[in-house]
Amino acid sequence: MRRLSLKLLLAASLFAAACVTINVYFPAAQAERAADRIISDVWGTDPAKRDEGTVPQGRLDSQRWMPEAAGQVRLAALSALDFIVPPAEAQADFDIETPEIRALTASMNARHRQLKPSYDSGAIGLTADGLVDIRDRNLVPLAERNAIRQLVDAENRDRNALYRAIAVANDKPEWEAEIRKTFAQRWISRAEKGWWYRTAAGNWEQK
Amino acid sequence: MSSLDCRGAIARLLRLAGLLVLLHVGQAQGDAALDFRIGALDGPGWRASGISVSLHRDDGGRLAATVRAARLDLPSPLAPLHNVSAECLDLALGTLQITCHSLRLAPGDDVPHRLRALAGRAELHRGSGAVSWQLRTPGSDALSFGGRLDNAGWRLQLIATGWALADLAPLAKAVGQEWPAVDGTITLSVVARGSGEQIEGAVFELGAVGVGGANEAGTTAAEGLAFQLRGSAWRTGDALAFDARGTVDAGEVYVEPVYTELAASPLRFNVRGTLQDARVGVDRLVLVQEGSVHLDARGLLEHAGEDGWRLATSRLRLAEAALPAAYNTFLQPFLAGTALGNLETSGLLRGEVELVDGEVTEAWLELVGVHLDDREARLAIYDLDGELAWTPARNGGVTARGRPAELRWSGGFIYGIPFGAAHVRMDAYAGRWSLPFPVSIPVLDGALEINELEVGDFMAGDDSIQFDARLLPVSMRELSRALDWPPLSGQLSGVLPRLSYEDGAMSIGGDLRAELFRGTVAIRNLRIERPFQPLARLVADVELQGLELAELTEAFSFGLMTGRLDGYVRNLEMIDWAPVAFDARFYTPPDSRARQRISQRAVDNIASIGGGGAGALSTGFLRFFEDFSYAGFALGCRLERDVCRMSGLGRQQDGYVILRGSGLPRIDVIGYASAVSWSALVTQLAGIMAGEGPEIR
Repeated sequence: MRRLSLKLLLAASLFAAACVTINVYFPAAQAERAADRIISDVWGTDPAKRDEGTVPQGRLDSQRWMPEAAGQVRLAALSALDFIVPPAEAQADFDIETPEIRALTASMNARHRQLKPSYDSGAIGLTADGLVDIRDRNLVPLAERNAIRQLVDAENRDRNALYRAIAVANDKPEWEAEIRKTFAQRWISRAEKGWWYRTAAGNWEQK
Repeated sequence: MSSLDCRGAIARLLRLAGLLVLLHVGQAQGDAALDFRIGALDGPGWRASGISVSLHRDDGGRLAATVRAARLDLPSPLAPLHNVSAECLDLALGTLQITCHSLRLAPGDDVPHRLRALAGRAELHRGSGAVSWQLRTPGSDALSFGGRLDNAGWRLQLIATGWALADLAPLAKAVGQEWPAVDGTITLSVVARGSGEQIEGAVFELGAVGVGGANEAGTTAAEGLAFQLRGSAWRTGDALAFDARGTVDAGEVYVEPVYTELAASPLRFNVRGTLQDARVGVDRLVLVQEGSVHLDARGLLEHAGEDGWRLATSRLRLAEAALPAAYNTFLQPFLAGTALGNLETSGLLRGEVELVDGEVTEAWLELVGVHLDDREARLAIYDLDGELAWTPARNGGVTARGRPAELRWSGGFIYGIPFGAAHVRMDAYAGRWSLPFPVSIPVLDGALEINELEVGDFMAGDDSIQFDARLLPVSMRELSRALDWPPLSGQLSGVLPRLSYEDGAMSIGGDLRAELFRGTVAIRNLRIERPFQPLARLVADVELQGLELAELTEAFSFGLMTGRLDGYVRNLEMIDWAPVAFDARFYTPPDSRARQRISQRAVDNIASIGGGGAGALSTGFLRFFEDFSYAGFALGCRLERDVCRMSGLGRQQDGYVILRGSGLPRIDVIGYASAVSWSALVTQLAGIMAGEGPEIR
């Protein structure tokens, strides 16, 4: 009897020990897809390219992301795809469809038109912490240097708010740093040829 | 180097030469020549080595002399010169003076290119031992250099015309200074006199055009500057006093974050001070930029060895800063991104700042007739007068000289809501400003009565605000007119206890109550993040009770309904002043005893919200009834992600009951669209309200 209860206790504690740890890992692939969609919106890149590998969020999204007719065809294609794509791949995407995220994206998109010449000239570049920074003021006419500085400040305010907003929208405020990291990688990897970025070590490199 | 020693050495050399020449003259007519070498000659501070002297008569019988030195060491900080040569082609040995009528001087390769060949004349007075010379660059007037050395001292005159600043790099290097990469040309004229190593006085004039350059980071840069500077310096005791004035009237300057264009608003300055050892005392510096700022300053600069120059103390007085020029150039760059970052301005500012060891120890600002008007229409304030004084808290509080902060204005706007004249006085205590007595600020036909206001020491980085106020009734009619809303009736009033501003967010501790349409509306848990910035976020809970539907529906041109209306908008979230999420429900209280009637038009409108087509009642026999009796009404919308989840009194069939009729003819309105696009709904409601055209009452 005593042996039995000891065994039971052992088994119970083993069971308990086996059940305690639940690891929730950061869904890197989904975060990357979310980042890509936002980057496409901000930089206004080719729609055919920007939707690569993304899964639609629902009716409202598909209306937002593509012309209606194209959307219908695409939806049909995707429903067919849902059969083929293994369930792991079809995990729920990051939620980026909150009004705050949309407002931030729109604000950054409007600003991008003003920032683009400076990306092209190398006056500003992307940073390893998902922000932008001035690389060489001497490439900007004196009269515009202050404006560029203010644009970069405003852009960074929006970017910081965006990373926080995505984390909050997905009920995972603790993911903010990971989201920022994902964005930093995606901004840089999707930057146009000739644009500059600053590595974590602090060196500027050109794409 | 003492001038006497130098003159002595030259005189000795010339006398020696003269003697030798005289010895040879009779012996070898026509081709007399003498060459000799001297190992080194030196005097205090200088030394010439590897000297060779050559004397000969040319065919015309003129005496010529050439002196070469392999190396000439000059007094510090001047760098040594190599391969220096002086050639005198016409040496006249008079009884009173020795004159070299044609002197050619080649200072070697250590000087700028244009200085490598100089021509002129030199004289030595035999009696006094005075030496004088005049040299210039041949074939151009790029440089002229004259001087005189005698028992009393020395006098030098230098005129340089059209010198590219880049050409001066070797000269700077010669005196051991780094020369920045700068463009532009200068014209310089200096007359200086002194004795030994001491300058007794100087007069100078400097003009420059096309001056530009930048530091490596590009945070300080200039382009195309043109300036004129003239001044003088004179000895007073051990110090050298100076006085200079100038203008900068072309080009542009950027000193992060300030940019200014000088052709449109030239800068004039004058400075007076003294230089002694490693200290520069500025007794007065006056800077005037036309139409913008007029400031004067005094201070003390000390040379702190390796660290370069350091501002030990200074006092800066802003005699006048004229808005908008001063705001656009000097203030906006620092205020960008704040509520004051995008203003139309006018008026004057005056002020004073005292710095000791790089820290502000006292600051004072006066505003005179200032108008501030936000280009994004967030706020405006007119006829602002007053003064703000500040000293760091460790010096006994945030005021300076025991002065309170005081502001007066005649009116303004906050988000379209006008406010009236007020006079606010703030006393400083324990590092915070606070209101000594209540202040009333008129708001429309009511007023905001501020009982308590405490502002943190924002100069020290504490931008928190604590606020306790009461809103005396403001008529909704006035408020809705100001905000361009449909005309509402009733009054808005409330208590704003514990309104605070901290970390960029504003929140209210108590309820804001409005009496609207004979009912009450209470706003609770109001919090606004980034209130004056783009993408401001507002959260609040709103409760409605006992609103008179007849007045409400009339105000919104909805079609008449009678009865009472209760409701709530919970968890309201607005981004950029547009609702993005809420849980709202409006309903007639079930126990209401009010007479409940609804007009045909209102039924149509409710039906269209519920998803039915408009005009459902305009056909058939029901069109003969003007209004109908109803038992209850409820409409709910839970907004999330642009979609409104609709609800009503309860479920029926596949829909929800919005209006339940009573009596005969009985009308029920049932909605079937349970999820409605919020933007579509807003457009629809706007359409309903615009249906009868704008109402002006």
